[in-house]
Amino acid sequence: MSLLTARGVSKNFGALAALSGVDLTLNEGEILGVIGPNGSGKTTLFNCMTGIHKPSAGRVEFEGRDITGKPTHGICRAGLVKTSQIVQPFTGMSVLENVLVGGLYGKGLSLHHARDEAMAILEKVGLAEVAAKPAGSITVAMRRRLELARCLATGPKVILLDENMAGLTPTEIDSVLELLRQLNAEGLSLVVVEHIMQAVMGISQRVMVLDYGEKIAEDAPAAVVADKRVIEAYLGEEYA
Amino acid sequence: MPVKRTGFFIGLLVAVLFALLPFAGESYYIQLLTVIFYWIGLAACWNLMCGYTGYIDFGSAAYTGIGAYVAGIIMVRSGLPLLTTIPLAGLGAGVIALAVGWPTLRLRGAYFAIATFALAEALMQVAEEWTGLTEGGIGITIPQRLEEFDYYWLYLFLAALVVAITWWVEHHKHGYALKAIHEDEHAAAQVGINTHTIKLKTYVTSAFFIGMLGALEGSRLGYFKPDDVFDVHITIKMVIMSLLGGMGTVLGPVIGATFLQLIEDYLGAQFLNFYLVIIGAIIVCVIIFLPRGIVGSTIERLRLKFRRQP
Ligand SMILES: Nc1ncnc2c1ncn2[C@@H]1O[C@H](COP(=O)(O)OP(=O)(O)OP(=O)(O)O)[C@@H](O)[C@H]1O
Ligand SMILES: [Mg+2]
Repeated sequence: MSLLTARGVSKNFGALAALSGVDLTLNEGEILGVIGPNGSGKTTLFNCMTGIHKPSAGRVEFEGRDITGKPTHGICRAGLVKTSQIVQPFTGMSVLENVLVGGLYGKGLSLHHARDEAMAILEKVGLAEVAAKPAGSITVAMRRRLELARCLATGPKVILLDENMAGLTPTEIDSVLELLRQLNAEGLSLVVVEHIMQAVMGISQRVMVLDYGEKIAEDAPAAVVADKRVIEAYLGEEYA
Repeated sequence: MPVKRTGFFIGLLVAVLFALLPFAGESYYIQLLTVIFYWIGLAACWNLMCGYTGYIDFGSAAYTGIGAYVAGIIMVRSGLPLLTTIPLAGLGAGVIALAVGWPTLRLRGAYFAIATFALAEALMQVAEEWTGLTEGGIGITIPQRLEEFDYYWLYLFLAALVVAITWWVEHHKHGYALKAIHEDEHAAAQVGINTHTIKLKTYVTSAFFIGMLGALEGSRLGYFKPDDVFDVHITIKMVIMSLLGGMGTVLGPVIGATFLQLIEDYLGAQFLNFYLVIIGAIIVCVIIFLPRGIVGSTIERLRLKFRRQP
C-alpha cells in the first residue's frame, strides 16, 4: 500500500524552477533512495512534502490524506518527519533534552514518559553516553545521529533522511546503514537522499533520480546506475 | 525533582515573609518595596515572553497603558469598584495582545520588535486624540484609590504569581517548547511544536498581567496622561531589568528589577542629574562582564564548575 505520494509537485523560487512536476511513491515498509546532482531539487522535494515549503503546484498525500501545504508541526504529528541536511540540534539543550522535545510534542507524551522514551532511543542510536552533554558540544557524526534520534522520538511512520551520512567515515556509514536497516525491519519506511552511491544503492529497494528539478529515472538500484540519462546527468554527455 | 521543589518552597517562604512585613509598621522601605514589586512584576512578564522565546517586544508599554485606561474609564463611567476593574483591564490588554500577536508573531524577530514598538506609539496617539473617551492630553483622574499597604500586597502577589508561572513553565513541557522556539523555530516545528500557538499563548498571558499591573499603577498615581502610561521608558526599563538579571531565567527579572530600582533610588537621591549616566555605565559593565545577566551568568559558572568535577 502506498504510504506517501507526491503527484506533479512543482516549486518555483522566483524565475527558478527548483522542481517541475515530480511524482514520488513510497510504499509501506519500503526504503526509497533519491539521488541527483547538487541543486537538482532533492532538499526542495523534502521541504515540499513536510510543509516547510508550499508547493507551487501538485499534491502530497500521506496515508491517503491530502497534506499539501499543511503546517510542518501537523505533518510531524501525523507521522512524517525529516532530518535536515544542515544539522540543527537545539544547541542550548542537552542531547537528551533534544530527543525529549520530540516525544513531548511530536508524540504528545508527558514529561515523565518522554524522558524514559528518549533515553531508550539514545541507547538505540548509540548516544546514551553523551545524553547529558550539551548538544552543541558533540561531534558531527553524533549530531547526525541526534537528528535521527529526535525524529524517532516523534513516533514517525516515515522518515525522510536528507544526506544524513554526509561527512561520516566509512565505518560510521556502515553503522548508520545497519541502524537504518534495523529501523526498517521494525516497520519504519524511509526515503534516503544521499550522494554516497554505495550507501544509497545498497540500502534502497528502489531509486529515483532528479536532475534540474525533474525526475529522469526510477528503477531498481542496478538498473538506475546503468541508465543512459542518469550517467549523462552525473558525468556529462560524452560518457553516456 | 526534590531540588526544584525546594526552590519553589523557598521562594514561597520569601514571598510570605515579605507579605508579613507591613505588620512591622509603616516605613520608607514599604514604599520602596512597593515600587520594586511593581517592576519585578513587569520585568517578569516581559521575560516570560521575550526572555524565553527571543521575540523582543519593544512596545510592552502598550499594555500598561491599555490596563490603566480600561480600568480608569470603567471606574469613571460606571463606578465599578477598583478591584473589579483590574481583571477587566487584564482582559482588555490580553484581547489586544491576541489581535496584535496573531499576525505579527508569524513575522520573525526584528519585524515583531518594530510592529510592537509602533503599536505602543499608535495607541498613545489614539489616547491623545480620542478625547471623548480618554480626556486626551488633559489627563484622566481616577476616582478610587486603595490603601498604601494594599498596593504593596497586590504588587507582591502579582509579581510572585508571574514568577511562579515562569517557574512552572521552566519545569514543564511548555518551557521546552519555548526554548526550542528560541533556538530554531524551523527545527521546533519539525518536531511537532505548534510554534505560532505557543508564542501567542505566552504573549497573551504576559500582556494580561502587564495590563493588571498597569491598571493598579494608574490608580496609585491617581491622575495620568497618555504619555505617562504609554511611556516608552516603561518598556525600556522592563528590557534592561530582564537583561541585567538574565533573560530566560526564573529569577533574572527579580534580581534585575531589584538591582536597578535600588540603584535608581539611591543614585537619584545622591546625584540628581548624573544618575542616568552612572546607571548607563553600570548597565554597560554588567553586559560586558556578565553577558547572560547576573542570574544567567551565575548559573553558567556553577554549571561549568560542577561539570569539571569527575
Ligand atoms: N529557499 C530557496 N530560495 C531560493 N532558491 C532556492 C531555495 N532553496 C533551494 N533553492 C534553489 O533550488 C534549487 C534546488 O535546491 P535543493 O537544495 O533542493 O537541491 P539539492 O538537490 O538538495 O542539492 P544538494 O545536493 O546540494 O543538497 C537550487 O538551485 C537552489 O539554489
Ligand atoms: Mg540538499
